[in-house]
Order: sequence, then C-alpha cells, then structure tokens
Amino acid sequence: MKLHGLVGGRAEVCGPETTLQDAADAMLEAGVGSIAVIDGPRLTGILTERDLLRATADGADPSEELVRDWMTVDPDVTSPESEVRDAAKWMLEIGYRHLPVMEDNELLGIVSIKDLLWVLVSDKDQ
Amino acid sequence: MRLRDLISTPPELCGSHISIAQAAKEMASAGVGSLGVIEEGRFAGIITERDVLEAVAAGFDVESEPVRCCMTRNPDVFSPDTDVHQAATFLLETGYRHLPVVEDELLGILSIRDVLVGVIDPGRVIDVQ
Repeated sequence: MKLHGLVGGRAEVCGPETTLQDAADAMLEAGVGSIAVIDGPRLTGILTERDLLRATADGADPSEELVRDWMTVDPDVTSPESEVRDAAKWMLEIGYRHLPVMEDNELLGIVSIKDLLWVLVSDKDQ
Repeated sequence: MRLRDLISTPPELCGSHISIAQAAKEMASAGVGSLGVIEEGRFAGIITERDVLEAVAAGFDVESEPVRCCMTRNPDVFSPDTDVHQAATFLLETGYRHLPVVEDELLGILSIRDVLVGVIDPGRVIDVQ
C-alpha cells in the first residue's frame, strides 16, 4: 500500500505566529500529534507534541511563545507514491514520528507512526 | 515476537509530586515520551507527552502543577509475554501510545515506535526510544 491511501483529507495547519498554546489546542481538538506550519501557500515547518514537550521543559510560556521559534523548519517530506513499509523504516531510522506527504508543492497530509502501524498490523502481507 | 524482546532499557521514573515542567524536562533529556510515576515506592501510573500537551492546552501553570494532576492512574498494563501484534492491535484500538510492561514490577514502558519496530522488522536489533 502506498501513502496516498492514508492522506487526502485536510492536514491540520497553523501559521508561524500562532502561540504554542493555540497550536496545542488545535492538535488536541483534531486528535493529532503534529501540525503543519504554513506561510501563505508554502509549508515552512512542522510542530509536534515532542516540540511542545521541549518548550515546556525549557520553561517557555506557551501563551506567549510562538510556533515559529519551536517548529522544525523545512521538514523532510515524502511522496504519496512511497510504500507504507518503506516510509515506516525511514521514520524509524531517522527518528521521525510524523511525516508530511507532498505532491507538486501541495501538502496532502501528515502521516504518523500510528497511521503506518495501522496499515502494517491490518495487513501482515504488506 | 513478545514484548519482553523489545524492552531495551529500564523505565524512566518520577515521583507524582514533581512539577509537570520538571517531568517534561526529564522526558526531553531522556529522549522518551513517557515516565512511570512512583508513589510510596510503587508503580502508580504514567505521564506521557500527550498529558503535557493537554496541560499546556488547558492553560495549566506547568511550573507549579504537579504530575499527579495530569497523570494516568492505574493504566492498563501488559505481561512481557504478550505477542507484539496483539499489543499493536490494542494500542490502535484504544488510542494509547505507551504500554507499561509489568511482571511483579514495572519492567519498561514501550512506545508505539517500539511496537512498530517489532511489527516491521522483528529480526532487527535497534536502540529504540
């Protein structure tokens, strides 16, 4: 199975000037662990709950601090044509838990380790 | 493959009285997404980065609020003999991302990442976090 079977809905997005608290709120509301950061039409970063953990650990005030200062800038992305198993191996090797899926500069979604595990467990032939 | 084969390090632990910010600091420095919480010398629950996210979203003062305010008490626990596919199915069905593995005592806390390693490549030895 390829990643395009997992994306295609709307990715959660926010702007770089969003506060960490608002970003945390949006993630919880959507039930996701990451949010794509866009500036105009361009994907400029990704903020994950691990980044929020780091910010909290550093004593950042989440109602004041901005996403742009804690996000991963210009994250690695992958294509919807990637195989689920290859993407999972790559994520394990690099240590990512969220991977933006892009096609022709358009963000199709963000796949998480959980999304990939779901496919791999449901279909052991993958 | 069984959960016992995926436990590579002893669990990271904290007390329930420390602040949420301190727990976040310990998770971040250990590179893990959860801590086992000990009360009166016994395993009492876990705190995960999702709990920290919820505390931040709710506007808690994380520097002063203690772990006991947002930890999960008496979480579901697993035997080290549980099959990794069974554990993966449980994680996906419940939405949990951390599995405390207990046999008399807390042996470790496996993350969804550890379980993915077991599912995708059981032969591989990897230093998972």
